[in-house]
Amino acid sequence: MNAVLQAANVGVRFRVGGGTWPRQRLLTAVEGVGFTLGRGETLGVVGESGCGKSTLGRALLGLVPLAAGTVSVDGHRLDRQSDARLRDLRRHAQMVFQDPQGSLDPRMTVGQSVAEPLEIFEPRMSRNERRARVAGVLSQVGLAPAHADRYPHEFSGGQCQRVGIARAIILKPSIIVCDEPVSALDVSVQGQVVNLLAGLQGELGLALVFISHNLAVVRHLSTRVLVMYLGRPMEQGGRDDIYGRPLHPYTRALLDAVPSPEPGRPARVPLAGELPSPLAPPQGCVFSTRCAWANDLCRRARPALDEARPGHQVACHRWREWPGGVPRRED
Amino acid sequence: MALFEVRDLAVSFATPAGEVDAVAGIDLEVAEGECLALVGESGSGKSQALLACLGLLAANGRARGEVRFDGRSVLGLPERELGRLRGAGIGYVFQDAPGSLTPHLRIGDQLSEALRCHHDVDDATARAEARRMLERVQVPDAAARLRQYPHELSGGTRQRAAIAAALMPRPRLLIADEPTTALDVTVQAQVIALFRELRRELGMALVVVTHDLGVVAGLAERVAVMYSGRIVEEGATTGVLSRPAHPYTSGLLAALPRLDDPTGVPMRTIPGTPPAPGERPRGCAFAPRCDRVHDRCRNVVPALAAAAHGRVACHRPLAGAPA
Repeated sequence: MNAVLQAANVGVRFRVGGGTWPRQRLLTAVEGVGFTLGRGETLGVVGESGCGKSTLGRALLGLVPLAAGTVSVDGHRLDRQSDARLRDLRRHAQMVFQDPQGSLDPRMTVGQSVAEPLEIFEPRMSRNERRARVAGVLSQVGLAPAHADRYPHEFSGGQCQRVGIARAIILKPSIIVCDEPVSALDVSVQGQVVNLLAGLQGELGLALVFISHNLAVVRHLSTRVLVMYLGRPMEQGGRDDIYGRPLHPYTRALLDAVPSPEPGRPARVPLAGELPSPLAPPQGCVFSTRCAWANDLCRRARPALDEARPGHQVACHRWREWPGGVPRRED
Repeated sequence: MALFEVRDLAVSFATPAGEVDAVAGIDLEVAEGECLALVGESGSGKSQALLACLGLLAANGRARGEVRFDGRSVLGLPERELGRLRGAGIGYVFQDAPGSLTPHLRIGDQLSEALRCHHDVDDATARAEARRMLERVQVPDAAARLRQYPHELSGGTRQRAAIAAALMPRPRLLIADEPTTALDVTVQAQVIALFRELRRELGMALVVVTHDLGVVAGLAERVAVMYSGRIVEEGATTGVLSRPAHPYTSGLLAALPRLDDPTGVPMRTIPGTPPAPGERPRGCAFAPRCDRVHDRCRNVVPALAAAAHGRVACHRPLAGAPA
């Protein structure tokens, strides 16, 4: 496979607590994440807030320094590049943000926002050519070229997200990291944006990293899915494996939590309690404090990321007990 | 008699561009102990309608119509009496509830103040009650939380604390505006379960405002669907969700991503976007996005009329076809 984006054992740590050395503590935001993504493929990254999925997204674009591991874009390791070369690599990897309105400068017209990457990376492009490129991407995302002269406040959330996508594709990147791109949108509009991303992916052969807490949305777009908890990969595999026979109890809990509009089917509460503090992760398996299946071993030893089947990895001591998928625990 | 009754409520805002109607005449009814879900997307007017009922509109807003709580007319009450009604009669959990906590007050102070504003109790009693309420909304380690500030709590716990604050004066009706929207799916499920337990234990009536039909199914007996300032369909939750009569309700249900959707085909969506309140079309506001539209829809606003499972405002309702 022709890998566009490759991550190996990626780790990100933050110093927190301020002050000087004795009071500073290290927070592990991401640890041990690895995957390979080819052209036209989508990696869905799911987990609760605070699981490190957004930090991972930023690390993939070289926006936060790595404490461990490597990220390669088109075969070039981000940490081995000169600043100039890194800048050049970055144009191939773009980002779409969660808050569609907030990620656009309210004082700039939509056209100026979309043209900004061109001004930075292709400063010698003529103004007419730039305007034509902006008009081109605006129609690619389903907006009218005339929208270029309007301001973000004149647009709905869904339209602003289209603008965000236009800005991300104007440099013809090979990778786009989408951080919760539809979470802030109305249900009737979410699908429009997902379909737009899927269409552009086919057209441009993009590799997508799609970060979301909504498993039902991720399922539509993803070829592979990475489930994270407290910064660590819990399970990773092809879409049908993850949704059809999840091997990690956390994946099962996330799937069960998706509310269903079927009347009369009471909502399940698959997971009690809260995410532990990332400053003091539980010993052993980080999920053991909330896991219905945890035993002594789980509370003592950190499970390795096992290759359960080709391309399907799981970090759980007990996955061999349910090779067809984690059974539902009736509460 | 209904505990909470809204008749022909209209809300408008004076803007530089003229008077804009956010809510164009809606009726609601909530019986003692009942749960009604008010469903709609951003800009449908669902939040403004309920804020208007409590006299909480922005200064340029104006409400007309009739709102009765426990038989008493609410609109136009003097501020003093409104203040007594809010909290003690009707509790309100605001959209962005975590943000509605006061950042520089400890959780315990905020909760006991919410009680002491409405009931004549001493500080010690209020604090004990605050702790009981935090435990009731299942905040772990409640005693320690009382001494903490909002920023020290996780999003889910802040949400629970805001719900606890609204419950402190023991309202007979709780209005919760998008109580699960900002939360993770796992915490969402917890909060929905919490509301169901609270209703059972406290017997209070509940109005949940949401855009998520998945939330509705798990919580409400009745549902009213709003689109562009009007109610387009209402009825028993089971009926409306299994056999929607309005094309908008049906479209919303189809657009909700589900785990058993077919993959490899585009997600189902409703084309276009809802009209801005000032740019509502002449006839049915949904007509420009509707696949069943005909001439009459573009010219005449359909009235709410009896349908199989309640009432629907549509010239060509779906004949109860399964969604």
